[in-house]
Amino acid sequence: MNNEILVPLGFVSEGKKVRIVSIIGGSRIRNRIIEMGLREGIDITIIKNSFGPVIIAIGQTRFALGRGISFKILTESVN
Amino acid sequence: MTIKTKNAKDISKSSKISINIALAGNPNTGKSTLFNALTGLKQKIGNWPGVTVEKKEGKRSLHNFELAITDLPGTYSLSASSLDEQIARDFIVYNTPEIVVQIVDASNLERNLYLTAMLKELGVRVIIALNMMDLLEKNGSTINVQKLSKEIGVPIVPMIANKKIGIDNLENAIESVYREDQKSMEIIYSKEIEETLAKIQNMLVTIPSIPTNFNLRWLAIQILQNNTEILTLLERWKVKDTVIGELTSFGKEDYEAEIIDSKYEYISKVTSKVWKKGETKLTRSDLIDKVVTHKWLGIPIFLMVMWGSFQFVFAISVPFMELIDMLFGWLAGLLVNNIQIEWLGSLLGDGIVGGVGSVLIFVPPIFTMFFILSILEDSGYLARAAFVMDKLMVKFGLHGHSFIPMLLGFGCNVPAIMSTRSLKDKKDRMITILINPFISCGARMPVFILFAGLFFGASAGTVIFALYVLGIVVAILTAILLRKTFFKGKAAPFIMELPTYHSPKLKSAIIAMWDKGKMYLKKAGTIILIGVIFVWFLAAMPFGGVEYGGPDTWLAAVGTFFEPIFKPLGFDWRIVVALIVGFIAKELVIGSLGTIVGGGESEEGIKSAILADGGFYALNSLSLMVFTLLYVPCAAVIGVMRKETGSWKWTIFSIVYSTVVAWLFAFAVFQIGSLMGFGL
Amino acid sequence: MEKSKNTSDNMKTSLLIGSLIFLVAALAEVILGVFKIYADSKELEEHWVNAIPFPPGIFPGLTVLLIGLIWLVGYFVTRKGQNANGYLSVGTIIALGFILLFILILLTDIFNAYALGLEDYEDWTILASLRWIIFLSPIPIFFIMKYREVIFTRKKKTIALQS
Ligand SMILES: Nc1nc2c(ncn2[C@@H]2O[C@H](COP(=O)(O)OP(=O)(O)O)[C@@H](O)[C@H]2O)c(=O)[nH]1
Ligand SMILES: [Mg+2]
Repeated sequence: MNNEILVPLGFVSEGKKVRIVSIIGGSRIRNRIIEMGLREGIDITIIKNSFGPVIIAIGQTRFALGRGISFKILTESVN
Repeated sequence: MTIKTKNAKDISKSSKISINIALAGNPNTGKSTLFNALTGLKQKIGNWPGVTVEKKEGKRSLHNFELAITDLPGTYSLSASSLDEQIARDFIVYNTPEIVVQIVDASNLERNLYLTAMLKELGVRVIIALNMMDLLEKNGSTINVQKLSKEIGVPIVPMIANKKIGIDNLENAIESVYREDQKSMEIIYSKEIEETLAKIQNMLVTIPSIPTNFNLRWLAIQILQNNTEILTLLERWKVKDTVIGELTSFGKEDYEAEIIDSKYEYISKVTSKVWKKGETKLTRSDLIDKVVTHKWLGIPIFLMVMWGSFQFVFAISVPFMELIDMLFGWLAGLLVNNIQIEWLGSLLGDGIVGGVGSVLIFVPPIFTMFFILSILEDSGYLARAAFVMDKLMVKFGLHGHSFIPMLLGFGCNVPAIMSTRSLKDKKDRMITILINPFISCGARMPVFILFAGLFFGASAGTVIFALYVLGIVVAILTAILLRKTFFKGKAAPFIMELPTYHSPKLKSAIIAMWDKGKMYLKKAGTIILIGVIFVWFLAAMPFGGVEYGGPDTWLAAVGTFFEPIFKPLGFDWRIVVALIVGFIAKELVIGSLGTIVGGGESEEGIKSAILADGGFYALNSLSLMVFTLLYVPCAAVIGVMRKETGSWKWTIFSIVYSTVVAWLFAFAVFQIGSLMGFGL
Repeated sequence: MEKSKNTSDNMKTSLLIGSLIFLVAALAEVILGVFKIYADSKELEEHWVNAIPFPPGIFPGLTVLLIGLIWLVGYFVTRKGQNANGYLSVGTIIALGFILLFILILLTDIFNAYALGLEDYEDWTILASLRWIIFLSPIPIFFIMKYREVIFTRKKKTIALQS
């Protein structure tokens, strides 16, 4: 662990690239998210975060995440 | 599970050896494209046993083999957390296909291989069709296919399915894989898990009721993951208590997260050696998404697209509807006037031809509706519609995903209810199913067009629009009510993959239109035809002397019996009969009114008969339209609800609830209208 | 560099002019459309709004309005120096879609009136189905010709993300 502050995905601004550090919430939900490829240690890019769900990119895939879940995904910035 | 080898039973009469192949894969990887390329027109659409989820099967011959290909639902995993996953897993476990061809999106290797790991864990022979190879280069990504294949022990065939590139190699791979066994992909879990797995496996071997060909390691892993489906399975084998009892002595915890992580660890290790990830770049799709999901523009764009779609449906279908109406009117008249035996002429003319005609007339709008929905889906826009509506749906205790079934409901509630199967959360899914019948399907439209047109003149359009809105409002109120009572809790988190925009293919839209429309034709040929004959029978009985559809027939007797209940809504026995018949299908409402009021051969005929009748006027036709909008759409919906909810209780709840709601709203319309002096 | 600056300046101008024409036309159509509904509901056949050869419609007017707004937002996005290709594409594709839709409706109306001879079409003339957006089609067609690369990228062109 480094001492950087973890930012919920919902607060990351458009165009930023971040790494998922942890997914909080029930294990059932966490497991389903991970199976879709959204897991700890992976780098994602925020495509859109202004209104309604957040759009993120993992490689060539795009996901829409509801605002609720977007605050349960904690990220750190990558350079 | 031991891998099935060739045996005598596989040799069919045509002396061709049949190979069972299942197509698996993540959503949007090109599964349908490959399936269509492999089977062409030799496909058959049925239902998966127990559920009304569409099941596609097709055939292809290959040398002296016949490939029997089954298209599994698109899934990310086989953990059976949604109906789709459960179907895919059950097919592999119970139907034991010889080979599973997994379509993998090359630009998204890691996540796709997660499913591969699960398939291999089940013990089936897997071939990877590495699709979308054309996009790989553009993303600056590379895959060392040979090395990857060696690492995971699975043959890999690079493909570009939409250009039919790679099909030959896939055929070759199928032939050679069929001949030899495939070694398993060894994912080693932590020491603790492995030890527990071994203990569970040792215990499972001793249980005689477990089929011998079951893959015990897989079963043990499922038990460790606390998979509820598997626990039910154990129950069926009557060993649940023994197994659970033993488990607690192993110090069982929930190992699911750790098992998932271990699989990914294994995969990352493999992919790090063979895969160079492409850069994430802002694509054309992203730029379009910024517009169609824009804070201010998103919802207006969605509404305009919907409005345009409805216009398209009407533009295309009106001339066809008129032609069908003319044809059947002419045919019915011909039969009635020319067949000497009067009752036979009446049965064939008034009953069958008139009745079937009044159903077939809706084929054009329903087919065009499916066509346009398929275009919207194929282009990728439908997923964005769910996105745009998410914010609104959250207010009703649902989320964006529940919106697509509502949208499909404007076409037909049956496929709409089926489409809820992709919702992961059981409660979300139940609510989404139960509110769907209030979304006005295409079959209700003709009733609205007829009565609004007759009694509301220039404001007919507004009246019909208001009815649609009323349906949506009742659906929303019902969702809120259900969430506050029977299905307490929060909606599951909204996560949806957004497919890249494609220009939609005319051919696949036509195939989809035909696939879905066929169900409607089948309905017309079965339930509705029987309903039509039944109505004719009641309208002609008792034999001899009674005027067809007149007040002395059995039909009138049924209507008169129920009339008191509907009197406060302004309905006389004839409307009551039409509504009772409407339980079977809304298409019958107008047809049976035609039978009773007369002029049944064509829509024009019915119109003038209703106007001349005197028993129909603006207010009671408005309450009739409201009732038609809100009560049970048709028998097919009852059937699909029973199957999809898996419960008679909720099906009956829905029937009773919607009928009561319909009665209350129609009552309010009629009584308030009467008070305001709009009555007769 | 020079060249790409030119194209973005071009696009800026195109978006602005296109959106202004569409917005003005849309407002006129929607307002006249309201008058027409009023005249129709009172059955005022002599009303001046019925003298317009191409009948205005509220919903068709709103589509024109929306397309104009999409381009206008696109124009402001270019002014911030951001990529507005999406706005140009979406507006143009929607415009093209509706133009084709209204031409299709025109054709089916002709069929209904002359081939089928439907009653509802007794007083109908071809002019009644000529929607305003059809007359505006030179603008989206010009955009498609000029910005074909942007709107229908065959080769998937990608743009580096500005971090
Ligand atoms: N570029 C490219 N597109 C493909 C390929 N295979 C399929 N597609 C497209 O990907 C989209 C999704 O395909 P589909 O078969 O519907 O995916 P499914 O959801 O897995 O059934 C369609 O628009 C196809 O035309 C391919 O190899 N390359
Ligand atoms: Mg598909």
